[in-house]
Amino acid sequence: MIVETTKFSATTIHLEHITTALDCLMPFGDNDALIYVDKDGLSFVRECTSVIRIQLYLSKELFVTYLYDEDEDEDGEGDGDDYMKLKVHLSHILNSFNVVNRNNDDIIECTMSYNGDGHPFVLIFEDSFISEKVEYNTYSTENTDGAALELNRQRITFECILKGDILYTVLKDLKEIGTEEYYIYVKTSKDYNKNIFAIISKSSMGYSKFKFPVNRSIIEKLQVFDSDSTTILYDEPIIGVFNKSSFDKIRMSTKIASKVLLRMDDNGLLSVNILSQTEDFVLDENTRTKNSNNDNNNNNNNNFNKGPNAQLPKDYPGIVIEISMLGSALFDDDVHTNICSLMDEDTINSDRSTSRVIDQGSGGNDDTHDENIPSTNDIPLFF
Amino acid sequence: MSFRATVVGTQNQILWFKSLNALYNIREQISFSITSNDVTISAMNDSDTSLCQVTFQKDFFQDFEFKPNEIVFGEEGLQVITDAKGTYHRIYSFNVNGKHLAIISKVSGNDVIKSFTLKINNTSTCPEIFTNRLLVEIEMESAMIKEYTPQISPTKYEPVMINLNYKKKFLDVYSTAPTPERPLDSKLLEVFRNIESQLDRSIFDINLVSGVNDKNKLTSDDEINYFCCHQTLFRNFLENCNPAITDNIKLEININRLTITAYSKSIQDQNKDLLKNAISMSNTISTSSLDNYCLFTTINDDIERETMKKHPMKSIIYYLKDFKNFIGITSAPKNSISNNDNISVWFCRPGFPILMEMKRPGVTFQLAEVTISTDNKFETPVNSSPTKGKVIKVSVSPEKLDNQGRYGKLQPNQKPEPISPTKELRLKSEGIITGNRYNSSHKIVPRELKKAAQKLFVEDASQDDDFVDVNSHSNDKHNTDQHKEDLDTLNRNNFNIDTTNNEPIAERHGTTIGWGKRTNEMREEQESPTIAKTSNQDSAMDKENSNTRNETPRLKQPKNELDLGFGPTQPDTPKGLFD
Repeated sequence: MIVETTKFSATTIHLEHITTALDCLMPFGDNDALIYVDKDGLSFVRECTSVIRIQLYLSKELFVTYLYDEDEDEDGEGDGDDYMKLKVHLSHILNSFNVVNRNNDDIIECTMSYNGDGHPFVLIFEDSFISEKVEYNTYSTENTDGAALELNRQRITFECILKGDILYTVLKDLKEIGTEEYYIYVKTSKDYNKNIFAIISKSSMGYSKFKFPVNRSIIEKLQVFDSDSTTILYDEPIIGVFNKSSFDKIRMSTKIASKVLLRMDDNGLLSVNILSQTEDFVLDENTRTKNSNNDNNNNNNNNFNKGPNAQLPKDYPGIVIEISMLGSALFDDDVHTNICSLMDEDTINSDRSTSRVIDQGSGGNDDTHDENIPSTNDIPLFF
Repeated sequence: MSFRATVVGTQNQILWFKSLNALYNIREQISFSITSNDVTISAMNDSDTSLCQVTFQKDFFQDFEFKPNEIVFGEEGLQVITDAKGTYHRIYSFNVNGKHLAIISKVSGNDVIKSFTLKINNTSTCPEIFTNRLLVEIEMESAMIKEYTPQISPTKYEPVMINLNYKKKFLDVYSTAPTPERPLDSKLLEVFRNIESQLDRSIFDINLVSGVNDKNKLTSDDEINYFCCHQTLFRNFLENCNPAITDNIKLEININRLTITAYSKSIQDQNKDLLKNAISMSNTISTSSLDNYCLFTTINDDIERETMKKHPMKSIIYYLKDFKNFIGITSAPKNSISNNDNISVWFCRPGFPILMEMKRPGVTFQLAEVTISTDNKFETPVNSSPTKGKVIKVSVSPEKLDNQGRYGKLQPNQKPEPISPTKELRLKSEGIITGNRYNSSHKIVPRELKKAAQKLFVEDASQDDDFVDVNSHSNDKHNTDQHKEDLDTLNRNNFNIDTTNNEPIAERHGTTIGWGKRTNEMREEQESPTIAKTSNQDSAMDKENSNTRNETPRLKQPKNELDLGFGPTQPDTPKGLFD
């Protein structure tokens, strides 16, 4: 079914996985999405009014076959920067996936192909009986300038790695109470147990505070920098302000997250990197029947488990999402004092503040934690 | 902290959350009132027709702390109440948006709430953003800490006294100390004692009006009825009721049976086209399944013959929706039915609020709902009206398992007071006759007529005997008195044997009876013997009660309800709890 002449074509049977991934893009408006195609995979980019931008990466390991015809400029293979860019209506594609997914009894093979500017983006769905070909208009793309939404890595103020599910729970709660404005409050201390990572919400019921448990299994890393990304600061609160329309958009993405890396630079730009390790969120694999193995694994058996359920390839790194958003500037003193007293009140009342035990290993622990997360680093988190 | 209370433990938390939700379903605004002994949360719906109130004793919470003296901000919620003993009590009351609390209380994800703490900090040292805020701190098992600060608006607490008034009235009417001649069921005595101590402890008892002028001269105004049964009796029934389909619930009770009916009337448009079908479903329970009951009945002289066959039925109608909501608060998994899950119900005449109460350790749930004054044409068959009734009878649930003396003494009757010629008639009772009913084992009282009718519902023949006895007394009281006493001694002896042998649960019943006379005017007014003879005289008196009710509005209850029936298709206008 793969047309030899196309510059790009990829085949997969993990439709549900792709649907899950594309769902994360949906909160960012229902218009066009940019798709970048290169030799390593697909990345989807959407941007909302220049204040928030999401980039979602699907590695080529997800696909049974992945063919990308590098540019024929005879340059040799050294040029890895070559890519194609196309713009489609994402909701249309997602609809197609949803429609096809309804048929759960059979395994469906999906082939995407694109032949460069002026060609449609083609999806071919095949099950045991039916082959379905859908073509989507592509639009010419003017360069979206993502520069304003580029994290300034030299001037990072805080960095935090935490578990995804707990963040998702909190974001869900925050949405339910009708949060209008989100504040991220970070304060570290030499005593690890006194670190604070909290999300504060301002809503119709006043301020609400969600304080994350200080527990290395949940917050893997929490560091505040003196806006130079290197000097570690203690006892200095950092507050980021975000409005509802931006911050709530990351909720869908955190739903599938196993780990979330939050970084903010001194411009108030928050970058959220989300890594979904495939074993950490449950795909509905039960519906995959044994037929799947017989029919569809012919092409590239090496990548697949032989079990009754067609699982994701082992070397597939999972969905990788990077969201960057600009914080709000409106930060009047009232809010600041309110937040501080909100957090102060906590330290006054908590017994923890009285027992000031310096954890000797706290500095070292932070370092070891950098080492503990190689999985975060060895995959293409950032583009 | 001006106030702090923590709810720990799954059971307590569930009760707390369910209470909040139930209240929120009644009204968006939930009222809190805090004393040094308890926290009461309550909500009354917009039309003032139902009031749900849940009281959590101090023991329900962990770390209970209440320092009203330190409250500086929001002091409009502070009240000092002097109780009957002259002790001062400080109360702090406020309203909270129930929606906020309901959202907060919702457990999301897989996490479990470890502790749920409510705090108020209205002291002078309070930061500005915490003044007049209810600080809710939720600690999850995962060590996540959530804090919410919904706004509170301190307001004066205006207690609705139905609860206390009813209980006082109940005591006044029924709880004369047991005498050897007139013993009461020990369980019932316990109920009396509990209520007594509750009234004693209440800080609002200074203004209590029971409405009972003279315990020995009960009038139809003094009517109050009580029964107590296991919640599952209601719950099982309500499970099958959808408040969207059946609007109303009707309780009918006499000394033989309790009938619960959920129904809605049919609705027709002007052309008599049916817009909505009538539907009704009912469940009948023998009163032997009830824990206790106390019924207050007036009997029409003219239809006395009919009442020989059928016991008068007390009936009360109210809205199903809030009741179902209320019953749901304490609903537990079916397998964990405990014996203490009783519901107590007090009600007066139709149109007066009905009061229901459930208890859990440290928690009291109460629901007061306005009832619908019955419309003779559609609700109940026209038989008689209470004011025309000649006899006022007080039936107390029979003794259970204790075999003490059964008969009380008959009080000398008094003459009926003159009644005004208008429709609003007041009947004065002539006195109370206390008596106990006969044992089932006794077929002493010859009565052939009754049995047939009553066997339909209650197999226990004893109950028939009971009632007949009462009626027969009404004609010749003193003679029957003597007779009763004779029987009583017999009963006592036989009772032991019967109950122990036949039914291990052996719930025997005793009745207390009183009666009065009615005037000629009333009699004329009522008459129409044909109708009276029809069938259900039981609920017949309700209508007239609703008429007479107007004269003396008591207990903050709705007035002017008589003749409110608009027409066959329109529901009666609900009345405010304290219009």
